[in-house]
Amino acid sequence: MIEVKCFATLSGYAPPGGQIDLPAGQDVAQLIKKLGIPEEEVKIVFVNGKKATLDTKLKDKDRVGIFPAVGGG
Amino acid sequence: MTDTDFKQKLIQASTKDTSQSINRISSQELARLADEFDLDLHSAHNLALSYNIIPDRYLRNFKALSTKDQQALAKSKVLIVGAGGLGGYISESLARTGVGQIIIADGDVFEESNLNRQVLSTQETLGTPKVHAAKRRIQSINPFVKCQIIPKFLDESSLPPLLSKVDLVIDALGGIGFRQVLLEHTVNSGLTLISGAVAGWTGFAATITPGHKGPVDFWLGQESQSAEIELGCLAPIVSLIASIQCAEAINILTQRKANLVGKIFFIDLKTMTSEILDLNDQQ
Repeated sequence: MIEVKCFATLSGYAPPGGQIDLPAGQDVAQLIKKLGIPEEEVKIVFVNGKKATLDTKLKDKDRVGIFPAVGGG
Repeated sequence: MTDTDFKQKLIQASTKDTSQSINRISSQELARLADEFDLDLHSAHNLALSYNIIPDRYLRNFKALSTKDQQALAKSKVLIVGAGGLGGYISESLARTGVGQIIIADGDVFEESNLNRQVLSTQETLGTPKVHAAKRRIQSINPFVKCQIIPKFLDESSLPPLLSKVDLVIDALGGIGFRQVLLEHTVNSGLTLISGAVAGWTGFAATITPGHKGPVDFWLGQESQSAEIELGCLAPIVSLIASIQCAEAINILTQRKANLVGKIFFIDLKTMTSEILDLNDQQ
C-alpha cells in the first residue's frame, strides 16, 4: 500500500482512504496516471518528505504528496 | 550639541527596568529628544538602542529577543515585494518587531475582492494604492521605521538597484509570473529570499540562499494553471504563511539559524496537517 495525498486543486484525485495498491517497481508517473491526474497539472511530487521525479520508483509504505502550481498571496 | 549630549539626555530620560535588567525609554520621550537634537526618528531610535536603551514598544520582545537582536533588527533593511495578502501581514509584523528599514513595492490598488484576506484593505482604502496603505500603517505602528514605497510592479530593470540597498528580500507576490525572476535576481545578488505562496486552505514558505534549491517547480507553467485562480485564498492560511516568513526573517536578521533553506514548510489547514519537505532530489 502507498499513502497518497493530493493537494489544492488536485485533492479530488486522492484515492479512497488516501491509500492505493501499486504493483512493485512502478514509478511516480505511473501512479499519477493511475490516479487520473493530467500530468501537466502536477508541478512537484514528494516521496517520504523528499522531492521526487516522475521516474522515482515507489515501494510499499511510501508516502507520496502531489502538488499543482501554487502562487497566491 | 553632540552625540555625547544626546546620549546623556537619553540616559537621564531612561528608567532602569530591574525585572528585565535593561534601560527603557518611552517612544514619546525618544521622539521629543530626537526633535530637540534635530535627529530623524529612525536615527534617534538606532542611537538609543546602540546605547542599550530600549524603547518601551519593544519590552515584550524580551527576552525572546536580546538587546543585541533588537540592535541588529534596527540596522536591517528588508525589501518586501508585494503589499497584498502576504505583504500586508509581513510589513505589520516586521514594523512591530522593530526592523529598522522597510522598502515595499506593489503597483496594485485595493479592490473589493481583496477584503477577504488583505489586512491593509478596508472600505476606506478601496481604489487606492496598496503601498500607500502599507506606509500609513507602518508609520502609525512604528514611526521609528524608515519606510520607502515603490508604487510599481517591479521588473527585471527596477529590481536590481533595490537589491543593492537591502539585507534580505521577502517574496510576498500574488501569482506565479514574477516569482522565478525575483528568486534568480535575489540569489544572484548573494542575498537570501524568503518566499510564501498560498491557494485555498494550503500554503508554504521557503528560504532560498545562494547554492541551495528553491521551490521553483511550484511556479512553472501558465499563470492560469496556478491553484489559487480556482480555489481563491483564505485569510487564515495567508496570515499563517506570512507569519512563518516573518519568523524566518527575524531568525536570519538576528544571526540565528535559517530553518527553511532547501526546504518548504508546507501547511494544509483543511486537514490541519503540516510537514517540512526537502527540495533536494531523491537519490
